[in-house]
Amino acid sequence: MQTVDIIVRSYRPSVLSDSEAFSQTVLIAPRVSGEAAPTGAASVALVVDVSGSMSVENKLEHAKSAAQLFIDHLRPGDRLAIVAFDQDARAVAPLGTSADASAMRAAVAAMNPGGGTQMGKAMKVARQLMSGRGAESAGRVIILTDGETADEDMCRSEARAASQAGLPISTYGVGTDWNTELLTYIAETTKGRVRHIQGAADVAGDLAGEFRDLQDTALTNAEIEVAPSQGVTVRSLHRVVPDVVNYPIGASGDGAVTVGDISRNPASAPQFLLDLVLPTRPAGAVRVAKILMRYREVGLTDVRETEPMNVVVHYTADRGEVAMVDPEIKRLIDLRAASGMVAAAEKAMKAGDTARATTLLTSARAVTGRLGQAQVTTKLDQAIEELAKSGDLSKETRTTLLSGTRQTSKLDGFGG
Amino acid sequence: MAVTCSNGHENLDGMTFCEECGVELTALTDRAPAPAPPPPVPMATEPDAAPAPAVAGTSDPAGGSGAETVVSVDQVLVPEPLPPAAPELASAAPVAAPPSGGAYIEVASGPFTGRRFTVTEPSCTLGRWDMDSGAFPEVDLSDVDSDAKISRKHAKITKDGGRFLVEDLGSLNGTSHNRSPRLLPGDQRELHPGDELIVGRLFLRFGVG
Repeated sequence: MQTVDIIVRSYRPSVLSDSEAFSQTVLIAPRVSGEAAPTGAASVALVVDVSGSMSVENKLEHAKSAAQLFIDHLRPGDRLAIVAFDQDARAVAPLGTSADASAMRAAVAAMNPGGGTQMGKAMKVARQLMSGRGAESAGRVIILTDGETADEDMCRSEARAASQAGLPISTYGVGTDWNTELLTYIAETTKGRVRHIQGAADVAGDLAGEFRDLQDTALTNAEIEVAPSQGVTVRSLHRVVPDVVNYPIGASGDGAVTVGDISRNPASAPQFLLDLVLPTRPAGAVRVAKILMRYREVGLTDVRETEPMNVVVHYTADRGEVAMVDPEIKRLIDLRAASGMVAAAEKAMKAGDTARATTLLTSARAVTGRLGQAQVTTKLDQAIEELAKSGDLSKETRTTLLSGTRQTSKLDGFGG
Repeated sequence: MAVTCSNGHENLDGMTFCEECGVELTALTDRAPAPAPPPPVPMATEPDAAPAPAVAGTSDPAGGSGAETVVSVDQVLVPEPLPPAAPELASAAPVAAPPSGGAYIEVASGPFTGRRFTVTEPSCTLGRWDMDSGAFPEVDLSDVDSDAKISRKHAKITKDGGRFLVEDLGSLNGTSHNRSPRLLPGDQRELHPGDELIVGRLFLRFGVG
């Protein structure tokens, strides 16, 4: 038996009474403990770009290593399909189990680079292959690409179809020529992830991390439902771990927001920040919202839900009490802010407002520096310098910055 | 038997908080009129019904890179003066004045982010001004539509009693409400403060006050 619940905590548990309206941030962290159902399994379609450019820096060879890692780590019940695409898409290996390992290995070894890039066709093949997986398994499509695709519209419509089918697609861009906006759209629409792979040598490790994480998936098709009390307004819902993603939610908060898969590994389980606006009230304890999560357990097919959790806020005139905040939530709020500033800086750049972009990047740098995020801080320093020198940012800097500040936790691969 | 909260809402006996407005009910029954002293800080959340969270948290010794992202089970608080030094970074900062004035829409994407337009009553057309074709929208988005994806008569917001309703006017590139699929022309959706509208390629936010 496994137990599922959600930790719900307020950034500032006490707020000033009889004052003006206040914003309040609530952390929502799903938690899964206990034994998983024995029938739980992972089904993955690995979609590999084999267009001509993949031969540069041996990218395809590294992608093949990733596929071999996937095959090596198939557990009983896990299923893997491999799709290759250039201007056409083909199922190199149909959805199979570890029993089909030797055929899969041969198929992977036979993949050769050449041709153009039409990713949408491959997404369709992957989705069709994955429709054969059991509803009880955790499914995911993992796409690796290094370039722009010629069929962007089809990619977008395929992303919507996958979203309808409850199938997350995670997109991995290697190098800097890929279409950041498109890969982000696909991942956000389907509740997958978008990641930037620094160099060809990191391909295998990064993809293995995603597969490892899929195998740890405890819950799929999770939805978070927020019921605000009278007078309380919902402003936003963000996933902040493992990366920063905005989930559109209406001000009334009604309706559930689909948040995708939940890992049983506490280090990569998603965490969410909910922003509320609280009305003025006299002193006393008030439930400002009820939050519950609906989900399907991997290995089972029925939909379940957690107990509704109360977000309780204490209205008080005691300013000492009001000053108390939760430092863990503060860290997440700051990470989200840094990511937002970099995204806003990117927009300012596009609009040609270099001064504003510099201001935003400098603010983001102050935040990441304070949080001790050395890597991102270094990148931000470089970007600010680059901007000062040339008045613009290279595509490479933009890509690494955007994905670097979005990502708040790294996925671990198969231990080395 | 029913319990009535301080705002006059009736609740079933045994409820801890008013279903309607969230006011604590036990405070009323246990400690009659005097304002309840604030309880000790930590418990920000409690299960709806009685049972306490049974699981004592998976004490996974997930060292290394992921450790920082694991939520601790018990909340520990530190003082953080109010208002925070950088209001845009932390929450619990006072938000904009309570609703008083009329409705507006605000540009939420592109170079003109933050520009506000007043939503006229009883109805307000959003689009691009064009003398030649006789399009005179109350909200003229010509200047902020850098992609030229907004139709001359694109969408309309109508005030109906206290409600604001949005509809698409058969625009070329469509209108979306809170990222909905494209609205069918004439299909009215109720707008709430904070709602997002997409007209063409432009993101707008609806607000009141």
